[in-house]
Amino acid sequence: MKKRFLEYFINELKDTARDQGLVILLTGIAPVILFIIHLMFSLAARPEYINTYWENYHNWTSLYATVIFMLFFLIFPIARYGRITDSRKGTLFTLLPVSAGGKFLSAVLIAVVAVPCAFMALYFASDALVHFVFPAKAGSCLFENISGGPVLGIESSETENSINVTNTIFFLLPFTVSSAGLAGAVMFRKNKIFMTIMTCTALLFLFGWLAITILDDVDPEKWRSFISGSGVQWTWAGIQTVFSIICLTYFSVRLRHIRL
Amino acid sequence: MITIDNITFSYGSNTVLKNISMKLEEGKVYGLLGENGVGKTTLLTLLCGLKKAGSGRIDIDGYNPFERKPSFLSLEYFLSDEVAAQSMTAEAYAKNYGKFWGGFELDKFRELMGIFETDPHQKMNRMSFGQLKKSYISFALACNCKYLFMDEPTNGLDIPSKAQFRKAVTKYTAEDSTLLISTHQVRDLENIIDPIIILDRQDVLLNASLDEISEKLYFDYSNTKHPDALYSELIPGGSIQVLLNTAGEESKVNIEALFNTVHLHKEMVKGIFSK
Repeated sequence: MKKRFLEYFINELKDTARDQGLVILLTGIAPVILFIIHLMFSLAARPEYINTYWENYHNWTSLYATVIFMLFFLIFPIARYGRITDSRKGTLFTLLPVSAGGKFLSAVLIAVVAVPCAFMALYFASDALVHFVFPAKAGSCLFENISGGPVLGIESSETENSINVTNTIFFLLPFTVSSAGLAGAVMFRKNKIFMTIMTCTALLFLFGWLAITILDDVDPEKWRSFISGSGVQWTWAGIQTVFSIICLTYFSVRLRHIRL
Repeated sequence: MITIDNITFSYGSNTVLKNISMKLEEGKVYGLLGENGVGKTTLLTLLCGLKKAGSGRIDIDGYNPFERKPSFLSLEYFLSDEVAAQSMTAEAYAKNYGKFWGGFELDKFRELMGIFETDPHQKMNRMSFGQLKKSYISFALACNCKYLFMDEPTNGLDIPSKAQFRKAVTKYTAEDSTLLISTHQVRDLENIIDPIIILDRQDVLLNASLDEISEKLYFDYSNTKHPDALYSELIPGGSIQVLLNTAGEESKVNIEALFNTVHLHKEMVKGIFSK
């Protein structure tokens, strides 16, 4: 059983590398490409604006990273596993003699863990490379900008005597968004990417509206203490975790009961 | 042994299969015939576990196909009419995926690709539809599955490939393997399919071996006109007429003529073969 799963997982990894490897690589080195584009545009800028141009560069890199990360985490699982609902391409996947649990676990490990981690490592490494080679132009690197506290997970605050959860942007958000992508891959039969993005946007609006409605009734003092303490971080981490679990449960159920 | 017991299947409000029951024995190559839209592909997808019957029961060696247990999935292979072009060579595909079917033989795959005169080292997404189909047929046969479901396997094959397909199926399927081949190209498979299943809208018109058919129906290829013929058709060099075999004479079954006879006299033929 374990051997079969391992064989299947390795197969899936190889297929991912062969079918999506180039896209992962090219998206992962986006900071280099974007820097070159900026460099080319800077050649056309007036000399008196050059300094301002490069001073704003790190704002752009944060914006690019946010958009690229979100889109990549959402789109990659659809590109990889969207075929499952296709009667032509999904037949092999569905009828391959591997348990539904094995297929699920393999898909999660690849689309939610391995590829997002590899992608982030590649993206941050290529961003760091740009900043290492052109420190005067590129300023501080993206990783330094967005990480606060220890890179992984949980820090204890001695001053507040509490444990805080940090950097969910690295260790939780990618997996949450990828889980949503995985759910979208099997939820829609056509226009999967567009429909998944629209659904996530709608859910985000709904969540925002709910949050505002609830917060309207909360005492401002209590809210301030909630914001300044670790509660808000834990709540956000909890919401992401619950959302991921819902998406992955949906993916698992669909995988077992898919009809082609 | 495949047991189909009173199954019903609908696409929304369109009922395709209604109260279908039949038994398929081991070691036979069944030909599944029927007009467009009667549910041949649907039946195959139900048997291989891609779809779930609305009601009724399908039992294959004690398995419910839709549960898709790996032990069941390794017993069967479904060759769809539409095949996907993978971005790897046919041999790499066979090596990568064949290992999940316990009986898969890579040498047999290579041999079959040789019979089909198709290069296993060619990338599948650069193959023509016919070459791709032949690669998948080779893979399906090399899996040595007990149950092989094929949907229009000769579609897209050129004339020599159809003969190669017949040769491959005859030579490379184990004696206890059961094949269910859905086809419109009955002439392509005339010599290999036995028994014949003819599906009609929501009904099974016929499920009988060639021996049973020739025992009950007589296929006359002479030019003598029989007024009591159930079906007659002019063919180059003469005619073919289908009659009730009251004299117990032997004749070669012409599947196309049989299909047309069954469709002209549905209830009568059902009555004859249900006895």
